[in-house]
This record gives sequence, structure tokens and C-alpha cells, in this order.
Amino acid sequence: MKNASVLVQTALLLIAVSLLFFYVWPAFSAISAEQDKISEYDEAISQAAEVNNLLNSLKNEIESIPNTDRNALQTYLPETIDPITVQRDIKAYVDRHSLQLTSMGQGELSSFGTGGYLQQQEFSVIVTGEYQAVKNMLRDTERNPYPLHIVDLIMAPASAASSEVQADITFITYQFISDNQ
Amino acid sequence: MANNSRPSFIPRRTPTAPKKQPSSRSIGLFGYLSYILFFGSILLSLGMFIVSQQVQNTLQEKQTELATIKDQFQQSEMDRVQEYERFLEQLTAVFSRSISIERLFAAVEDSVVEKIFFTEMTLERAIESLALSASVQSNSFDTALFQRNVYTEFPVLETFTLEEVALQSAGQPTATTQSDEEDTTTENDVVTFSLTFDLAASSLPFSPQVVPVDADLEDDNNETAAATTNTNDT
Repeated sequence: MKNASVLVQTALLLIAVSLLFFYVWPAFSAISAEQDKISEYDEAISQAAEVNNLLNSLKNEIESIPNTDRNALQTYLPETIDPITVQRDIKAYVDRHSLQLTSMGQGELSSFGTGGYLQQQEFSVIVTGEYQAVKNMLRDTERNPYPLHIVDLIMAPASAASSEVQADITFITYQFISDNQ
Repeated sequence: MANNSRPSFIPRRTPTAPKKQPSSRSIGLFGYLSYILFFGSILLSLGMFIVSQQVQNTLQEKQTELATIKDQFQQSEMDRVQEYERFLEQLTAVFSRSISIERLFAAVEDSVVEKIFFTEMTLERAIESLALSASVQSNSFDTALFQRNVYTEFPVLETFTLEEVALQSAGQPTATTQSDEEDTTTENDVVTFSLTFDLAASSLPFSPQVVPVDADLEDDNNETAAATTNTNDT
């Protein structure tokens, strides 16, 4: 009778040890691993939510820009320079200040700055007129809705006997190269 | 009456304490240990099972939540935002390149002293700077010296080089050197020199004020009439 009891107790002990080794311990390891995964998921969820929130806020910010301002920005830095429009505008400034246009021409497109997102194009113009009129024309070109940056300017008397000056001006303007292009 | 003192034929037992029978259920230390371990491991296993189920459920919930957030993310929107950000960056870069030519002309005009005549003016623009060169005529060395002193104190034009000073007298140009000696030039003499200004683009800040191409002339004509230009005087 006593031997049977010892046998049962030994069997229980063996079962207990087996449970501990073959179920509890692996389950514990699995739970630890899964909790680690949960932590990683938590972090990923928080980061993804942060990205989504940031994206939404930026999207809202872009959408909150009034259309007029957005159009002004697009005009300031267009995706394509229209050489005809640029030369027409320069001609308009020349005419506006009663200057005599001697010649006007355009250069090739070239990249500008780093990143390859900008291109510039030169426009050369030679005008003759009163100094003040040339100056006013240059003042107006710098206030153009898109940039007409002066990169070269040579101003000299048109002739020895004349009070007029001849200005050889090189403007550059820019276009934005988007990824969609 | 019967005699009650007669002994019973059933033998009497002497009153002694009952002998304790050894219990068949008595548990030793080993027994306790085995029971505790057994039931403990059962409970632990049960607990582990429950916790495991909860953890798995939580993990699945997190996976579902992440998938939902991922579904909310739109790559096209992200591309659009990034594109617009690039556009704004480039726009800022272009805008920061703007300088005020009007300010430059104003500085040149304000700093010119009497009897100094610009015969030619050249402007070359680099990324962060611009170089303004001018060929200048004067009627005397004193005027040239005075002009040089004015430039040294003029904020925008203070970084300059004055060189190639020459005296043209009766059609005979004579190379000279700068000196503070007494001026011996006559009224018919022409002192020529060249000026080169190195200007930082930041010294000519541009204030945005867009004027449409077809805007009215406003007061331009008045300005033209009132203007005094040294360039034209040549």
C-alpha cells in the first residue's frame, strides 16, 4: 500500500516536472516573444499613426493655401518656361518705358542648383534709351510675377553725342522639374 | 434478588487507551512536495494557457490595427506632399537669389559726387555675390580722391577697388599713381579710373512687390523727368 502511494507521488512529480518543462517553459518563452512582438507592433503603430497625422496635417496645410497664392507660386516657378511669354513680357517692359529694342534672344535651358529640380534659361536683350527709363525698366523686371534675374548688365552711352544709354542685359528665369515630368 | 456482583461470563477488558492504527493516508515530505508541484504545475499551465491566449489575441489586435493604419496611408498623397515640399524648397532657393537692382542703382547714384562721370557700367551676377565694374571720369585727382573717400564710408559700396588711374591731358594720356600730393590738373584734364565693387547679394535685399506687366506707368514719367544721371552726362 505504501509502495503504491510512493509510486503515485513519483508519477505526480514526474507529470509536474514534465508540464513545467514541456508546456510551461515553452509557453513562457512564446509569451515573452509575443510580448516583444506586441511592443514592436505598438511602436510601429505609433510611428505609422504619427506619419499619417503628419501627412494629413501637411496635406491640410497645402490645401489651406488659397488658390490665388498657389497660382502665384506656380507662376513664380513654373514647370515649363514659355520663351514666347517671357520675351513678350520683356518687350512689354521695354515698350512701357519707351525704350528702343535693338535685339532680343533666348539661350539654352541648363540645370541650376543641386538636386536637379531646377533649370534656368537666359534671355538677352539690348535696349537703348534714357538712363532713367532703363533703370525703371530694370526695376519693373525685378518685380515681375516670375523671376527675371539680371546676371549680366553692360550699360554705356549709346553714342558719343547722345544722352541715351545702351543696355545689354541678360536675364535668367527658372523652371521646376517635378518627378512627374 | 439476584446477586449482581456475579461476574459476567463475557471477559471484561481492562480499560486502556485505544491503540492508534497507522493511517494509510499519511503523507510524507516527498508526498507534500509532489502534490504541491503537481497542482502548482497544473495551475501554472492553466495560467500560462490563459495568458498565452490573451497575448495572442492582443497580438492579433495590434496586427489588425497596424493593417488598418497602413490602409489609411496613401502613397499618392505622400508623393504629392513631398513634391510640393520640393517645389517650395526650390522656390525659396530661387526667391533668395533675388536682389534689388533698384537699391543698387540708388546706392550708386547716392554715392556719386559732383564732376564724376560713369562712362560704362558692368554688372555680373554670381550665386551669392555680384561684381559691379565701372569706368569713371573725373576732372581732377581731388575729385577722384573725394569720390574714393565717399565710397569707404558708404554702407553698400564699401568693398571696392579703385585702379587704372590715368590722366588724359591735351590728348596725351599719362599714366599716374595715386598720391595725396597737391593736385596739379587743369580744367581740360580728364582723370580716368576704374572701379570694381564686390557686393554681397544679401546687402541688396529684395522686397517683394509684384507689378503686373500691363500695369499703369504711374509716376515713371515724372521720375524720368526729375532724374539726374551721371551716365547720361558723359
